[in-house]
Amino acid sequence: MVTMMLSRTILIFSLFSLFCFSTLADSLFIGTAKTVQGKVIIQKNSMPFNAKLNDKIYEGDVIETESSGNIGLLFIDGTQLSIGPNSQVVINRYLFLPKEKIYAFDIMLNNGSAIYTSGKLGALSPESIKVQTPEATIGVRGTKFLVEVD
Amino acid sequence: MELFLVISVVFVVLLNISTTTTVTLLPDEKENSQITVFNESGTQVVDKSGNAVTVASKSLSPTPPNAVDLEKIKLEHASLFAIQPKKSETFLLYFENNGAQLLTDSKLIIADIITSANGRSSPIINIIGHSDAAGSSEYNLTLSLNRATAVAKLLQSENIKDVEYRIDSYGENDPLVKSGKEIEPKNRRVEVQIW
Repeated sequence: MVTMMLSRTILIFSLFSLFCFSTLADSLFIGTAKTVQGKVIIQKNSMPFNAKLNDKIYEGDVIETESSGNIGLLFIDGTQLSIGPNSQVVINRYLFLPKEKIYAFDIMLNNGSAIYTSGKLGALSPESIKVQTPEATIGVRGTKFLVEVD
Repeated sequence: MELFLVISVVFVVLLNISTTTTVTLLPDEKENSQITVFNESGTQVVDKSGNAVTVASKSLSPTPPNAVDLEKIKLEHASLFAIQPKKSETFLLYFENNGAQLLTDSKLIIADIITSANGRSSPIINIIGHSDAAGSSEYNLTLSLNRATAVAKLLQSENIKDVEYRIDSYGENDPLVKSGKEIEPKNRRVEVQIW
């Protein structure tokens, strides 16, 4: 009788903690896939997923588009990164905490094409923004640009 | 013979690995748009839309800015330009002193917010409370968050389809009017962005 009550309590407690953690993990997302077309793969912890509309984006994600793939990412500060076909983008670092004035944006375009449009990060802390390619680094100030690596 | 073939294949593959980076500043309504393209060999600044720089390798300096044919670029990258998310809309709401009661003018804006959200699929409504620099930052944070939450509750009762709400406060760290004055009523606002 006591063991049954105990195991039931443990079960409820574990389920509750799992719920708390999953909600917490979700609040760490840094953006969403606002538009998706064709074949786009997002690698999270080296696990590949087919990108779908409204998928959440996290630091460390690697986004790969095939010849038919295009995706429009919207970060939580309003920064937009649209990625064209046959491209690969790695999200190295993203932090947007205005209350604490903590900001960071560091992405790498290894191949392909992308359009960057600045959001609040560009207005509040442009010096924290880095868009990298194999050949150069791009620093910004309230801007919109096209970057191609081919 | 076999070893020679392996080495030559590797050599050919390495030659094809190099890429070239091209960065083009695009038209945008933001003022003083500017990008800096740099590597260990040099730096170039682009501050005119329609200008581009090229970087052939990380040990070669970026080329000086050059005007490019934007229409041609838009055609070459048609699917990329088309996938850009719809431009966001921003609304500003103001309140009675020390509380979360909307001013009369601001109440009228709520209908515009709902119209904007309903005109988008899976809209994201980002509600941000801001304060000015006067008074204690704790009070300002609480008040601005209360105001943002009040606006969210108002909108939630309108049952907008497939909507995602985000509520936050930036305190005094994102002023609209950067006068440096502590008391700045225009900064005590709730910013509603529709994505």
